[in-house]
Amino acid sequence: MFSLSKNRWLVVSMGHFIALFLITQLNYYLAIVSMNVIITGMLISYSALMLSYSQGLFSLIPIAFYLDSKSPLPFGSTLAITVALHSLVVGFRNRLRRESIPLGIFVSQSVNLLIFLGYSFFIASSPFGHTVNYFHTALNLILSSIVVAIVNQSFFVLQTEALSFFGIRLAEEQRESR
Amino acid sequence: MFRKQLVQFRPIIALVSVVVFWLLAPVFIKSLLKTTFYEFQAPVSVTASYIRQLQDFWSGRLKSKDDLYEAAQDLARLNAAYELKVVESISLEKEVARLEELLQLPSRPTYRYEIARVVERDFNSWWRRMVIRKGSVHNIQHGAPVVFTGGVVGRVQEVRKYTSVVYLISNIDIRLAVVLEGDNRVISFTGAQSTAFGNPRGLAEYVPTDIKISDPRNPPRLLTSGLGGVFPPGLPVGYIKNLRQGAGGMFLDADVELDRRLTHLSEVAVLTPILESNP
Repeated sequence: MFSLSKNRWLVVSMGHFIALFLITQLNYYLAIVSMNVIITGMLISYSALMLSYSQGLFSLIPIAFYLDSKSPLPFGSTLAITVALHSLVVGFRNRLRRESIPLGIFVSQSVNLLIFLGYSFFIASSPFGHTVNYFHTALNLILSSIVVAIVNQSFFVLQTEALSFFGIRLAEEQRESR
Repeated sequence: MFRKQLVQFRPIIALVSVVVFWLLAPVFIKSLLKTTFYEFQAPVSVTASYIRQLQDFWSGRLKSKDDLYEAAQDLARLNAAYELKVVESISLEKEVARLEELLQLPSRPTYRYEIARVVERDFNSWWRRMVIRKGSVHNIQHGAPVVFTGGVVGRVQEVRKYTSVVYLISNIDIRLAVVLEGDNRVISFTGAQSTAFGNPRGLAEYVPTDIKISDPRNPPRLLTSGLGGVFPPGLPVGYIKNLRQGAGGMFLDADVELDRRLTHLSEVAVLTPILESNP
């Protein structure tokens, strides 16, 4: 029988998709000044810190494919970056206080930074001789970091609330597992 | 014991599996996945664009009657001017057709203008592209030129069912043959590295050495050459700035300042050639 508790990645994935949709609308207006916000780090951070490894992975794979479908990079680039960063955060999370808000922001910012580096690496290593404007990339990274710092806590709370709406109480589960 | 160790290495196993899948998966599977995920989200983006249009409509409705009256007067003046231009254009077209027939020249291609709203703008430091609300069902073709009132916008790079992806002219992937206004020597144009808070830019290569910027307030203008058959000739591309010695030493390179409006376009026109049937 279908259990939402065992398929919580569906709820989280939907939340990620809504967040990306809203940021796409923000980017529409930011394009006027050639700026762009990326919040994928925040999504990876939530899935890696709040869900089990496999549930987190399942919640991120559709999002990575969605981003890949809209990116001119070779299909699968975002998937590779996302899975690598998810695995990295999961590898470290047992040594951290996962429910701490500043830690969530720190992880989101760090993962976002690595995503910028990953994309720049893919662009720089493309066979068409692309070059990266690092100053512009840094400006976009700073803007993205500001947006992530502002919305990270609300995003984490909203995602957890969405899960609790379907009877999945993450805080209780984490207490019990300890 | 072995099972416990396996669980410990699960992240690495998953990562390796994904990388192996990515490397070994056949192109048609990647293509199918890309198309599926793109088409899955497309209605959401298109709906957002309709909502923006509705927002514009209601903000227009809030304007006072005096503003609307003034706008209508301006439009009436413009219409009168355009009507004269249309008459002039028709007589010139007839003259061109007569000369083509007289000199037995092949007729120039004619285009259909497909107006499309901009759904998404994706301008970052790596690429510059926009999604428009017209796709294969509207007969949009891959590689079709995209223009606006200020000149060239870019080229259609991907065509989906109801949307298409347009690469902006300032994208590094775009390369086209251009000429200077009043000169017929061909220059190569390509998009340049993006900058934040500035005009979109391009790079002109193989500029003849006799070209000078005599008046910086009125720099030489680049137009499409018509070579290559993608863009019709005579469309404005941008203005030449900062001439410098090219890599080979025989030509000059120049920065090209593109139209500022390129970053906030909300409507563009896709050109589709009209094929004339042979008699």
